[in-house]
Amino acid sequence: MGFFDFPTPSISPPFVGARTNVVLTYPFFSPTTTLTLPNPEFGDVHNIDMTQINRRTRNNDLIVYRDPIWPRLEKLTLRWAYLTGTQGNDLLGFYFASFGKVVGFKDWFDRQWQGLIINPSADFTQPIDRNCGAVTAILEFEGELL
Amino acid sequence: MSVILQAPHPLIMTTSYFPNPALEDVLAVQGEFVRKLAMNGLRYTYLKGDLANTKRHRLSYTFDQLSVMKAEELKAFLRSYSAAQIKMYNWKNEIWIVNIVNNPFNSETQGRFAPGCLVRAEFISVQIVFDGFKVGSF
Repeated sequence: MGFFDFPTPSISPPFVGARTNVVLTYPFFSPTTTLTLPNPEFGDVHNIDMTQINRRTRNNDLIVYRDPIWPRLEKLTLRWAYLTGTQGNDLLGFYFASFGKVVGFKDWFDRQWQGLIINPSADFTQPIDRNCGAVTAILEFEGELL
Repeated sequence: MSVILQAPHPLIMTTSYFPNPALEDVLAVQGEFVRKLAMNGLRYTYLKGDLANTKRHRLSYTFDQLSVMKAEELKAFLRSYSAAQIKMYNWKNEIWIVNIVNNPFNSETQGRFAPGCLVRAEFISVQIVFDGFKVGSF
């Protein structure tokens, strides 16, 4: 890889706002279904998967190569521990409606994402220690920050 | 002191400063050798690579309690230079030439600096594993 193949990071800081809820929309363009949920629990994971090659030569040199056009996958793993029964059902309905389709996601930093829900068959559980109907749900969202 | 990452090495275009990583950072030799035992009991070792490559090290740093903006800076750095050689200055006054070898990268929100703070006052943890060799001190 040549030295000038590396895209230089922007020198302006990214937009980071603040919200008290997150919003899922479907379809992404001209959305007809909107689901508002509380912010997820701490422990959310932002996973950045760069497609690249790591090889070691017989001389033990490390060769790392990445072509700028190779894909980069970004995945958010979010967990809600205290969704109400209604919110859980709404989220389940949203999974059904948007199965395999591109959705929009407005995160708790007020940033807009575009992507897919990649765990539509995730478990919705009502933990045994919560008798008020609270539901635990996990959302895995793969997409890109707009 | 802080950890300074400069990339791409040697034609540096970006310099980023990060706080020192959390304790329990890892430093491990990456050199490899094969050992054989002859029938007469003599032991032979065969080093993989030249002397410089037997000095390769793996460094694992966990940047704990990064602010949201600092974590975004680190993510932007990783998106741009995940495959580049990086010049790293660490808190031990060492200069390393490294590659990043953990992929994918996970950043995890661990909590908030104080109850009642704004959402942006969250702190985030990112682990990075480097592979490289020390080139000097400063």
